[in-house]
Amino acid sequence: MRLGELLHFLRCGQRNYSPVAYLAGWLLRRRFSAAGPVAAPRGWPLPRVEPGGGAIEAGHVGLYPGVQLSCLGRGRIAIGDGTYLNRSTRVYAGREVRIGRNCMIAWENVITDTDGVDFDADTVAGPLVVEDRVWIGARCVIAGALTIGEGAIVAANSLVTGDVPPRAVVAGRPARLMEDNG
Amino acid sequence: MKGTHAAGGSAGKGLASRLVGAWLRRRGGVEGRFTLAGGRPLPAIRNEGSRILLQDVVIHPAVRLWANRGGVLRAGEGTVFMDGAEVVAWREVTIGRGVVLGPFALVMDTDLHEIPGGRLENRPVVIGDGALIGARAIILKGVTIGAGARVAPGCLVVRDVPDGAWAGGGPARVLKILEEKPNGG
Repeated sequence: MRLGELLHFLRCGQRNYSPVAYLAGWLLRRRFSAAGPVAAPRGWPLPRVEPGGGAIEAGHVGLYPGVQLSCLGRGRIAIGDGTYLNRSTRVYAGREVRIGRNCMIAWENVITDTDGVDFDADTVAGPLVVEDRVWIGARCVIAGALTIGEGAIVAANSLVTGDVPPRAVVAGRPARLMEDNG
Repeated sequence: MKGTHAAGGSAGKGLASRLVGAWLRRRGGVEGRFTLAGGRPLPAIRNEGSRILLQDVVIHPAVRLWANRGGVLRAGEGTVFMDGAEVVAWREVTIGRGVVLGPFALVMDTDLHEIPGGRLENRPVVIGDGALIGARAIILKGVTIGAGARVAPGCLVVRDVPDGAWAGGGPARVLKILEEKPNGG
């Protein structure tokens, strides 16, 4: 790790992982087009980072076991500092998936900018943007060209196919607005 | 039908994945051919005195195929099983050509256990050519999905979906029927 990266890491270190996790993340560094201190904490299998014909950028990110970041065709994935993706979460980008800073993404989610049905990169409508400090519960499917606003909360097991306003709480299949989060 | 689906990725290029594929094929008693997309956890193919017939399908990691009690599992050319997709065939599951089973999709032709006082009823499942099954959708026994149909992500399908229809909701209902089949069926 270069000095600049180290300083960046110290500045944005919101969540701390063990040195072993950073070592495991460091082993994955070549798969990213730009990577901060990626951590791959405890357990097996290691996260799969598959840029294919696209590119994947990540800041100070925690990728838990079984996480997969896949670009279909020339898709791009960018994940901001302080975000973590919990166990077995899948991200598929046909065009662009952008996840902001300090997001909490629980386990076994499927996040894709395709419609979640046709995983053909040619038919992808547009970018999927998850803004800062979004909290996504376990086992959600988030599919389509949409934006999840800053600080929104998506309840577990929801299906999100449209925009979620900032600080909203959504739940259900398909997800509906529950309340404003203040 | 499109030649290579993006979900197929760079399937089966490495020697390692070919060797693992050959091992899985032998161990699972698979008839026909499949290619592995590569990566862990390895797919699980469980064949208990039954038949699994695959013709040139692509299998991603963590897929589970389970044929039991004389069940028959068939999948046609160009079909893609994405990550964590699972098929349970205790009687007969027939998957056509060019089908994509999305991540964590589950297809079962059985309830696995009988309701107390009742009997276990297994009914065959058919998925038509070019149908697209969304991420984490669940398709239960006795359902026929038509050719070129699309099943929305995360929905539970308990009734038939006609050719070229879009189905969604929980339990799934037909949302619209296309004039033109999306994949050329």
